[in-house]
Amino acid sequence: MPPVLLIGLLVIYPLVLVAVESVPAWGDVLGSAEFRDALVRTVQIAVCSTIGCLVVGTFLAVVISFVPFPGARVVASLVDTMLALPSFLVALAFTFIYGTAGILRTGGFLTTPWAVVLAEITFYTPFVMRPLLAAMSRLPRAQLDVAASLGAGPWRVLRQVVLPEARPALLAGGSLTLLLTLNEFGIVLFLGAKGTTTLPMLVHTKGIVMFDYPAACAIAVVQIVLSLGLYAVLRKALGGRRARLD
Amino acid sequence: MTVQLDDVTVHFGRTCALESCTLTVAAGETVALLGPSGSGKSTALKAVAGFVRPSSGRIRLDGQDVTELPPAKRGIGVVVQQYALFPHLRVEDNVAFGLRAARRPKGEVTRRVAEMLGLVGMTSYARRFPRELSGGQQQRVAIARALAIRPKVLLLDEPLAALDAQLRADLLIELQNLRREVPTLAIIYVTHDQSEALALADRIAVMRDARLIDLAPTTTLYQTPPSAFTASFLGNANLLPIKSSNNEVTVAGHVIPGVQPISGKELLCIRPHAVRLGAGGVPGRVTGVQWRGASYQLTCEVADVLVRVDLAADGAVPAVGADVQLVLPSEACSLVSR
Repeated sequence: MPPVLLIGLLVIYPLVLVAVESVPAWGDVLGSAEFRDALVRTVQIAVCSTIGCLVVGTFLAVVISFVPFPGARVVASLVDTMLALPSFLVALAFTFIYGTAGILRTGGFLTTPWAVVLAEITFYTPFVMRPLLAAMSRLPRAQLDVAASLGAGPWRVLRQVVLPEARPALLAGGSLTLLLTLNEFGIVLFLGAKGTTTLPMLVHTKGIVMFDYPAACAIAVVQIVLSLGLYAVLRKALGGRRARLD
Repeated sequence: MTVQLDDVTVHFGRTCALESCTLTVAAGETVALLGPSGSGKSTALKAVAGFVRPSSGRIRLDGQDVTELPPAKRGIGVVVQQYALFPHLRVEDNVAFGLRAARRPKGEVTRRVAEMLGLVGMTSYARRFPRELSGGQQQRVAIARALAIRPKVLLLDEPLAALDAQLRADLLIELQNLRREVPTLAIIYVTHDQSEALALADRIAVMRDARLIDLAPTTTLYQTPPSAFTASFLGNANLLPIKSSNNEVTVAGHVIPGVQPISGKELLCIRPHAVRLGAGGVPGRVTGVQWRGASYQLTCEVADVLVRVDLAADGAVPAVGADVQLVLPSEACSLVSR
């Protein structure tokens, strides 16, 4: 079966190489404080960013879907455009706004984890909004009308009708964002190089800067396991939910 | 509670969906808004519910102006064609939705939900999700949900249109029973189906092209329709062009005994079941015969106009192409304007 062979050669083989290369470095890497700090930091940033994206994305999607304002359609299509841009653009823009020579001159803020979180929220919020906007546009108008006629104010309608029915979309957008922010490299490289080290950054430092390939490979394997593990869990969660809904 | 639409006009962008609609529905009364799609009947209902904002005119409940009030503050029960049950809530929670929004005490909510589910015969389905129910069952739950908040006004927007014929008939009977159970309820019933309007309504408002064109008690509207549109839309009446002269009305040159001309009314309206075949009638030719189980429907050509005639299935039925004479009894005839 040639296609399978080709995929094996192009995708699986390099991964296997990485795993094999990593073997001698496992003891050192797992024991090092540097690695453990980066792991914790990676998860912290990813979780904070994802929560931020969910909050901001839900808010914006609700406003765009249900509060009539001129240009709502333009904003919705801008969301799509945002998905096409590379993430480091946001980081670059941040240096103009918050950098030492930037508009706001916030000093050291740019190299803190919070700057990374803010940049990731800015960039990844559209990933949450896209499925949410789709889900909300599918929500029958009559359901909102009937809920209102039964005496429910806008807040109750949002909490008890809109959000429960948008839950699969929230779960899908949120899990995609969590995966992407766990692996985010460009934003962290541009902003947090000095003060914030995440796993992808550490792989880069070990492999490209310090030529410590085995260590880089070991960290990369952890990264892969983390991503695939999360992917498996979420697939199961989403898949199970879909099965129940249909 | 009295519902009053006072000269209500609704625009959607540039299109006028409802023009100068004035209508009063008394407590305990059922008024059907009957018309083809796009006639403005649903818009009128949505204006009463508060889902659309009139461009001009007022809506009053018991004399109180509610035009500016949001739907949540009007206390009106609404049932729509597509049920619009909340899919993530169980049947009992759907019915409890309005009571919880009003922060009624827990015991009262439980009692009221049980009472409402009993009313629509859905007690054993309380723990089900809407997707586990048939269309008819879902619509019963939707009715229970609307009535749970004890509305004084119930708005039904094509509630039976999504159901198949047998279920429609069953639910129609239940809606009639419901009217007896809640005698003070003012009901506005939007439909394009004349049989639903005839079965339920005290009065029928016929709508066409965003306007209310005829409004009268159901029997009056059926027996003496004021306009050609109402005559044909309600009960499929035959409309025959007439000539009037010297206190006589003629159809295709044949005098119709007992019918007096009225100036400005140029059409004779008669229901298919009232036309009889026999000697001394208007001559015509049979162009089609349809068996309908309990009756035959004949199509006859009379001076370039097709006339539908319902014949009892047990009598003799003429063949296609046969010459017949159509007797139009004067008591079943009325004259309408074009």
